[in-house]
Amino acid sequence: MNLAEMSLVDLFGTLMGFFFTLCVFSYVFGDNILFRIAIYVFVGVSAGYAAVITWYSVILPQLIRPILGGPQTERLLALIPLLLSVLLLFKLSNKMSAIGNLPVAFMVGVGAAAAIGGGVLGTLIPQMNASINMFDGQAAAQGGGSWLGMVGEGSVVLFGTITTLVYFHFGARRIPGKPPRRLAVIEILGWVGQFFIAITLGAIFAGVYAASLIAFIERFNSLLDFFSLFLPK
Amino acid sequence: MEDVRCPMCGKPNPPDEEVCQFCQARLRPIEGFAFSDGDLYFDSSKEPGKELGRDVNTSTGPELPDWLKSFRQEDDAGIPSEEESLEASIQPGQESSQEEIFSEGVELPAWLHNLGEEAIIEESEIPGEESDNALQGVEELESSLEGSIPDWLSNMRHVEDPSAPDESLSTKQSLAGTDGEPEWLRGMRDSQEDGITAPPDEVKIPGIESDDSGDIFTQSEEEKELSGLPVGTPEGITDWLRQLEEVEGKTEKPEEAVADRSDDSEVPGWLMGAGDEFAEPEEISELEEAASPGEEIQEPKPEPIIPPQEEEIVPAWLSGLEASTELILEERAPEVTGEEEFSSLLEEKSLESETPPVKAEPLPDYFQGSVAPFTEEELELLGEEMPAWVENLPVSETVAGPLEEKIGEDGIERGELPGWLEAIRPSETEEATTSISMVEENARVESAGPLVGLRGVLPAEPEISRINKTSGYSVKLQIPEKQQARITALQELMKTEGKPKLVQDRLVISSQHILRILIFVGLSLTIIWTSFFGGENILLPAFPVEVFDASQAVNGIPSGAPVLLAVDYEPGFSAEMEAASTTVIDHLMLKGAYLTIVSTTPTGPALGERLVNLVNRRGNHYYQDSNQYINLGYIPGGLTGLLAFAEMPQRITPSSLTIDKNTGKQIRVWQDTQLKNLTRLADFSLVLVLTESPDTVRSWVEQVQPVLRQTPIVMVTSAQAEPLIRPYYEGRPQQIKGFVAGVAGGASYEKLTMRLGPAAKQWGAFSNGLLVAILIILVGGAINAIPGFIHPTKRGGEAKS
Repeated sequence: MNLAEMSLVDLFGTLMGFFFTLCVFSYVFGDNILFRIAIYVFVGVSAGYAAVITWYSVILPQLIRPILGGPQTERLLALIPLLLSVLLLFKLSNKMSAIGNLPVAFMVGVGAAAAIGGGVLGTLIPQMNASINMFDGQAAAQGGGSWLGMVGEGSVVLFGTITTLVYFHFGARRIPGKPPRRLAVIEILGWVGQFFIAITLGAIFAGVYAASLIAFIERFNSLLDFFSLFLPK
Repeated sequence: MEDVRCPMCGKPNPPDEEVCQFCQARLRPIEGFAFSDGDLYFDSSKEPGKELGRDVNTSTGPELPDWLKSFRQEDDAGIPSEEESLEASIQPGQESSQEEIFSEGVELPAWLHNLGEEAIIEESEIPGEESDNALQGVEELESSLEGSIPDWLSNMRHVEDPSAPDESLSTKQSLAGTDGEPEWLRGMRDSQEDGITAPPDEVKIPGIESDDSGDIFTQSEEEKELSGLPVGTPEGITDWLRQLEEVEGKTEKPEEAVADRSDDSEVPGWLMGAGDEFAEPEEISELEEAASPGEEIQEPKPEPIIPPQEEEIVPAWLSGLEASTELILEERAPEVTGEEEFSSLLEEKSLESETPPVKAEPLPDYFQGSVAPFTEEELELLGEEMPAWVENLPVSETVAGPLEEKIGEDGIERGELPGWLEAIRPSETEEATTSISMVEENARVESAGPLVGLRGVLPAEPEISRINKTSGYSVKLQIPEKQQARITALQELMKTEGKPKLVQDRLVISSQHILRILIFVGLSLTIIWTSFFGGENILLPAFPVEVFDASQAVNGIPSGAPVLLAVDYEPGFSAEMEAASTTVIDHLMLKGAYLTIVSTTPTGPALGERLVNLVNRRGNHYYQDSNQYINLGYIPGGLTGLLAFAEMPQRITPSSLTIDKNTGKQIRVWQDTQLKNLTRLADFSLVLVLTESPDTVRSWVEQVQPVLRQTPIVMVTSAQAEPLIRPYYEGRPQQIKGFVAGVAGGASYEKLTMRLGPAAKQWGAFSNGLLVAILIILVGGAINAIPGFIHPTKRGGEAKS
């Protein structure tokens, strides 16, 4: 695509993209006004867009329309979030913020219940079963792998899991005249667990770096694409 | 036969002695007029005008009353010395022995014998009423004497001019104990030596009272009238003398004498008046009681008020004597008050020896032959030194000293105070002591105040003036060097915390800036070189199992099946997420899936729209809104909203975000689109979640995956979330069917589907960029580690410090 084929909106978007990309890249020389302008614009646009999205995706279809034109049941049900929303507005006042505790408590309670339930049923128990099943020969056979290889892999996972958990065990015995120390077995297992933790954090860091590098490459390619618009084909 | 005790000094003398061997006082009183308790009696057995008896009490006889017997017994048994009498008074029960002494009879003159009988009757009638008894006794005595007094004396008493001062002066002077005794008085006393014994103890009051002058002063007016003394209180007599008279008057009767004897043991009778004047503190009284247990201290009884008698009955010679005595008293006792008055009493005894004798006025002729009540030796005794018993008195312990020392600079004689009164006086200023140990304080005896004599009393005021040196305490703590070093380090740290940090001027180009620029330049050159030169030559990664499973899941959906597409990544990760997900969405579009876009982030719906448009453009698709895909918009509430959406998708997202171009309203998703047949999420053929956050992955797995049942869920995530979502994939059973992580996963998926896209395009730059990043990390680590290898101890020491 060259410059002549671009619409005005695309051209404006490309120019804006080029400008803000340079502004963000200017951070390589330190904090400056261009970088701050880019950050402020992104934050402002994101907040404005989120407000519009919230209005059109939440408030209007789930509160306004049911109250104004919905059936009686929807109207009555819509009064509950309306009441909670009004009470939540009292949080803006220091004197009457206690009134807003009710919707906050409701949200926190429901959120905690959902998180705990989901964490236990969706992550903890399934992962425990997965760790146990790694030593299941029948499952290994169904999976197509060798039992020995699967047991070996499961052993590494199990050992890594145990050592990592041991590392976070901070219980220690008090010895007179000496600082409290953990048991020797715990110390060794915890020391081994550090390697598993380091490998995990290294992998996460590599992923973060990869994500950032891709973002940089994409932005740099966008600059090249912008300059390529002015190049004759 | 027992010894005779001297009435003056109290020392025993042989019975045949008439004069005390110690003090030369007359042991036996002169017969004639007897002075006792102020009473003047006339011995009818003697020739009138020749013998003057002293006191009725001193005359002994079997018919005497008890109070007279006591004196008599005392005489017979030998009058105890003053010391012994004092000791006897201190010892309880001594009074009984003294009364026994009085029981022994001594011959009395007839007039005293009669008087004794009448006195017995009076005492038997009114026992205990001493004052009344005294008055009645005086009246009866007067009446009884009416017949016994010779005419010449009775006439003298009535006819004599009361204003004649000569006789009275001489008489009173002799009674006062002056040594200017005329010859007629001395002769009269000599004539009475055989008839009248020495005065009893009740009149042997030390000091002034020891002589008979005190008796005269204590005489009531009637008694004075009887004795021929001038009646009425002399104007010249001061108060202290009047008090002295009162004290003397308390010794009128033997019973009182016995009681007073106990008092005299503590304080002599001559101090009683002063004792009354200066009320003794209660504490001191208690102390005195404690010092002499069993001793009875009797309060002095009030003296009966005797109306003054008419002066006309006083003989002239007594009046003159009184007048002369007044002059002497006025000279002796100027008006003093309080303590001076009392001290004067104390001094008077010692001063008597130096008091010049008052020359008696010439007596009338009829009185020339009479005998004075005291001999010259007795009078001289009064002027001599204090007897031993007086010196041993507690009172006299503090008042010893020559007269010269007692006279102050102002010429005024300084009074001698008793010990208890001296103790009350404000003590001299104590010298400030530098330090007094506790032992010394405990050993200190209280010398002032009501607690005098006590040991270990807490000091009050004097303690204030004591100056103690402040004991020195070391303010330096004993701190080990190690702790001192830590304290120093902490203090330095605190100093640096307290000081405001100086804001250093920013350098335009610093080492950090240079390093950052170098990294930027290196990565940029790598990307540019890879993009323009040979980036496509880098092999794409082999497709991993999870990518293969993800493609199989997409391949498994039927054509035109509804697929839930969750765009839950942030705009900042759009490059990576778009590179990774473009091929997957392109694959779905190839399969003709009906895309239902939802998002748990506010920017998700916009990113979803952008992603569809991008895929349309790159994959030559023509996905139209509400026909091939629908954007349900934003799901509020995060985790809770996602759970609600999983349970009731129609209620959470009732309408689409986009507006129907035909109607201009939001599209009712669950009624007007291909989703009208769907009631739950499990009815979707595939759930594709695009997110860069492991938390979002976990939320979808935890909240949505359980309700999906057989519906597979595939994740397209960022590379940073891959380590955390892999367990959901590798676990058995799998919670996610497959996932595509990052550019590498997208490139693999493109390679797998044979549809190269942005991931494959960026793969070369990405690979070279990773290589450069690895090199930078290694170089940076080497630069940081080389100094450690070169100077390990230095760095170790720096680390320790």
